[in-house]
Amino acid sequence: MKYYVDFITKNATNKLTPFEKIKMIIRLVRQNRVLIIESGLTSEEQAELIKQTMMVIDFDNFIGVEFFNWNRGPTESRRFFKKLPQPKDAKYTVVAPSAAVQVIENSEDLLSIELEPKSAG
Amino acid sequence: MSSWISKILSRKRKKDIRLAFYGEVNAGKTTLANRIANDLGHEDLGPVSEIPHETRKVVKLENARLKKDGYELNFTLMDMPGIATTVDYRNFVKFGLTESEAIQRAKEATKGILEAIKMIDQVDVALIILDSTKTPFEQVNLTIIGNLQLQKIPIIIIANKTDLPDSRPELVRQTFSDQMIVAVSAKTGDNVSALYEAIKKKS
Repeated sequence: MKYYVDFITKNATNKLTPFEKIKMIIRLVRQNRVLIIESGLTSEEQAELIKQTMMVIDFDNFIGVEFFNWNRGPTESRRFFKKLPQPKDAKYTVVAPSAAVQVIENSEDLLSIELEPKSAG
Repeated sequence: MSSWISKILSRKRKKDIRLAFYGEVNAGKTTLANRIANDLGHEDLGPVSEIPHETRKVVKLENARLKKDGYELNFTLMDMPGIATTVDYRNFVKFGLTESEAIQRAKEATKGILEAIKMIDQVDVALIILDSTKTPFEQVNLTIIGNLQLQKIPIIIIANKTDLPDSRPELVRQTFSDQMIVAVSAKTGDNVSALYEAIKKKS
């Protein structure tokens, strides 16, 4: 199984509605692509991503996604809880097929993931 | 009057508090919901299990009343399914379920997660339950917290499982220094009375 890493620019997602953006993300992740999304995902988009993921899980070929928001670091964390999350604060979001991802480290300062070629589950 | 002001005022006037339990799978949501239900003179809301996604649909208990120290709170308890971004039936087989049982459980789990997200706007106060024996940053669901904050729904962070030797509620306090934190043991009931005070302040 091959996995690909795609960097998706703000320019590519800004012309999409939130619904279209999530549809695109799901479509690409199901094609074994790990996405680094420059525009990030707002809280509402993240909720929509989970909802749409739950609707397309088929247990054999697709068991879901993992996503990581690059809104981290002590300063960012504190700011997150002091005011409403704003779309402009979203930096990067990484979205990957769950079946491919093994998280090595997910701390405030580092996200390290290993991509494992394996079947769903 | 703007809609958000009227929303806040109507929430203030509301007597019945819809109290939702959110958290990662196996953080102790149902254990805490059961503890509160029992304190209020009701039966358990649901069974507790080591197998993930034991709660697969929103379980409600309406008209639960707390009378304490001169104040009275009426609750609708809403035990929410654990939010996850992935559901794999093979994980349930590891706990001894047959494949067909596991697939059925997985299907129900995906529906439950959908339901839990859709019901956010029906919540008055949200309890975010964390397992205080684990690293807070890794288990907190910022998606849920972000959406609760967008809708101006008050949040209380629960550092649960303080009865366990590895419990470190101080880590939860450090991570969420701007939030209201209550450290409890849902299993033993330790400090749950402090939670009622916190809910009273937030509602």
